[in-house]
Amino acid sequence: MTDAHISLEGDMTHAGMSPVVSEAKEIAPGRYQGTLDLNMRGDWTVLFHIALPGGRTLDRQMILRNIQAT
Amino acid sequence: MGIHSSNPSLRSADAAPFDLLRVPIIGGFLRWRHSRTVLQIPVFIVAVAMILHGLVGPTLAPKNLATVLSWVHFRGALVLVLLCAGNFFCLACPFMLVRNVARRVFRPRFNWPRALRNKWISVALFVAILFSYELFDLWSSPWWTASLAVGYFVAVLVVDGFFKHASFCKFVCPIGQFNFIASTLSPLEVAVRKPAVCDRCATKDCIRGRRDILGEQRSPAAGSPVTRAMPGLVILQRGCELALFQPRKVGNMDCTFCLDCVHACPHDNVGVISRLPAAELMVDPIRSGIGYFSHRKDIAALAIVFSFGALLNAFGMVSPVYALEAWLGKLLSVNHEAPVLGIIFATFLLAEPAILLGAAAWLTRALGGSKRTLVPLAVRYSYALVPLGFGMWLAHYGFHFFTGMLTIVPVTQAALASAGVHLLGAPQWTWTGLPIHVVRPMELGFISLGFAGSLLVVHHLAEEDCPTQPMRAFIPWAAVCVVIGLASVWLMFQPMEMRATLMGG
Repeated sequence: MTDAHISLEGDMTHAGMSPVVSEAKEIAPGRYQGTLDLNMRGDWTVLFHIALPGGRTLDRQMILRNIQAT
Repeated sequence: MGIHSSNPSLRSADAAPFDLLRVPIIGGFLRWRHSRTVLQIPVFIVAVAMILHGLVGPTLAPKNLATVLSWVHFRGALVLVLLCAGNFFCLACPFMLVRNVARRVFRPRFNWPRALRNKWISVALFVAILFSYELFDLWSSPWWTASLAVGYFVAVLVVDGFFKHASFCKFVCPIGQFNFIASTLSPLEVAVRKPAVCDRCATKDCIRGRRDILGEQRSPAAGSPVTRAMPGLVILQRGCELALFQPRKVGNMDCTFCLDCVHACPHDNVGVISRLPAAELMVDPIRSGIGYFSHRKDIAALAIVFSFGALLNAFGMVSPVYALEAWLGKLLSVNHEAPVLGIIFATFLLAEPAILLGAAAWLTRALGGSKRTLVPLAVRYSYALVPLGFGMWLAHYGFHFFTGMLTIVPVTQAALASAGVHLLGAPQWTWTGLPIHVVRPMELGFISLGFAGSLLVVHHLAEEDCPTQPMRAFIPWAAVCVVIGLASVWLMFQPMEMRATLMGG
């Protein structure tokens, strides 16, 4: 998957908490890298909003459990 | 604004109390017979939307109407309205709308069993909801949240389908009990305007209601031959379904603000009147439909669960709880969440109150020379902890409300978009609410307000209990307030941590 536009969104498991958003950049063909500031301890759900070159869109999600402060 | 209280000793003789029902437009609307239904219908529609979205909508809590509305907006608005006005959420209760419709078809036949005419069931359900909130991570589960709301509708229909009057509200509903005990701190109360008018009243419609007898409107005397012979008389206007007789009613306990008494009173002598918040906790007159607070261990238990449960509910959202449960899990060699949670709940809701209240009661007897024994002392003073508990509920729920108040906009946009209705462009998910550093001082203010309220109530009770040496009774209970107050502030400054599983996976 190349030339895609990927927005990252991190949500806490509790409603009402502010999501954190970021963009992933293509650092090599098909490889994307982005940073999210997960600013609270606990479980986070990261959403990937993906826009493909042909106009198709995809949404994927990943759960990150037990995030601790660094 | 004048201060009014149903209790004559607290009523100001020369001040004209503020009466919400005298306010233009608002008062006129509330005095209208169908005002409650008009308020209930939109709340019911929102409840249905929440349930549907919770069951079939996004599974991510921040994106779902069920979780956002329940755990951010409903709870926050509830405590703020209780603080600023009164129990208006019970007034607009959507469950009662459904019940009233159902009662057009099914007439309840039974009276609520005498042995269950107390708060023990509702206190147990209150604890069960707090426990379920942690065990099933309700805040992170739209499906569970929606299921809870569905369960509530079913429970209302079952209880009030079989039992007469407002049995569910008075003896079962845990949300109602929360509202009742919190509304002892509200500035408004449904109360008689002029007691002398009630003294002259012969019909007592405020509690009996009005029925249509042979096409003629009458107020039946309770148990009169006419009503006994014709049990199917059409009710034109209900009297109080919670057995609160207005002339003897004291404070907001058990009052749903349904305003049936307002509509029933033929003398227009019931208002929604200003009074001193928490004043009803300082006095112990016999209360219509309740009796004496000092004799009601069940209501004292409600006050204790309300006060200590406020800390427990907030404790479930901060980092130390996970360290504690990990330690307990290791100690007990268990991986399951329920037993660990059970120990934490027993510690917070049984052991901690028993130690603190028991020690304070013992010291009150030993130092102040109070004539009461330990349990009656603990029962009487437990009501003084309600302001502190309310302060903590306000701080906790107010935090979520103020920091997440705008999240309803993108969530509603997304919900409508999924139904094919696109409004105001793409949802802006970064719309949340006030920054945390702005909300923190408010939280401190709520806790301080509750602390001050509890100290005032304790001082009043101490003066009444030990008139010659009130400070000796005051100090032990003030110390309890200090412990709870400091624990509340400590909790507020703990790092928040929200896991969907308490045991960390």
